Amino acid sequence: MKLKALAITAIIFAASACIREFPIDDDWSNTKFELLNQDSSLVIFPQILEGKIGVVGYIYTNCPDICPLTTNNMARIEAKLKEKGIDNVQFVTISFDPEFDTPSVLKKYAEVRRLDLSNWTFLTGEREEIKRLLKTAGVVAAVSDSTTFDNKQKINYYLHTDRISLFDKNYHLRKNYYGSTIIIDEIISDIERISEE
Amino acid sequence: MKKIFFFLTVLLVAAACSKSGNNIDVKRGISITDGRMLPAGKGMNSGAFLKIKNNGNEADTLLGAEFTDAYSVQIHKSFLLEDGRRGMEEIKKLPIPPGETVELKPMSYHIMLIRLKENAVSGEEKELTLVFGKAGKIKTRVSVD
Repeated sequence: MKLKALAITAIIFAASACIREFPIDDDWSNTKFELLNQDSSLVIFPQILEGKIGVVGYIYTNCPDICPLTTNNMARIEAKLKEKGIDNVQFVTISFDPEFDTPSVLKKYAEVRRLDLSNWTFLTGEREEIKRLLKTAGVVAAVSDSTTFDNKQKINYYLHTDRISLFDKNYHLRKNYYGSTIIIDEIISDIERISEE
Repeated sequence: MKKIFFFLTVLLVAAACSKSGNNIDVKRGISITDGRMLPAGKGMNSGAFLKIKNNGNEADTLLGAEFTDAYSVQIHKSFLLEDGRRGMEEIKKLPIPPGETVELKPMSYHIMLIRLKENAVSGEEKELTLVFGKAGKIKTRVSVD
């Protein structure tokens, strides 16, 4: 009887420890990617997070649904955090179509959506640097189709991962979510948890 | 009394003819509602979403769309692969069965507005024309999200 009670107590204790645990998915503290923000300023990612929690989305601006949903969800997360008075979070959107998504294109993308960029940065860069970053992040983006205009300009359409990532203050990747269908309350709860670490 | 009746009639007709962002545009049994599009800058792509209801007894087909502020317009369908990647492809026609509503929405069918000629800013309204095999051209208003 005593042994049973002891075993049950041990199981409950172990289970609650697992529930409290929020493992590190990947350590980005020794990585460095040189990118440009929407103002064409040089930015180093993930160091731009500067000791804040990071919410990072991956998009291309010619995307008609997944990426706008991802961006809209990030805006909703930003608004919810403001409501709760949580101000230690930096938002970053990274484009995987750097040939089209120049800094000025990203700036316009944010402007027409009337996004609050006070703690949100849009990043692009050289193709090879973006490729390197995507590989580290495990984000896949490949051109699946395109439209070419009379002036030879081309717009690409991508087959791509649907992703928002959560980083802690020490540049550790903690969790990945589906960007277009993320549950806002879930990521808010996760942010509150790692804020307390 | 006659004056009041006349005045009320004019008001009623005016109300029936007035348009809003989500009014119902009807022609030959096809009604269009809930039109919206994504904000996008000049030179970028946008997507338009809406509901098409076929109130008639015959099937119809959405063949395309016209949007004066884009260089071209296509009907697209988004898809999800087993590995979680998402993409989209052009389709040449979208059947609208009799008595049914087909919804063009994110991650499904949508209208691709390719290379906008002007900014589409949140809060604005634009005109979109849908082209059907039987109902012909139907104009509708879409609000920019």
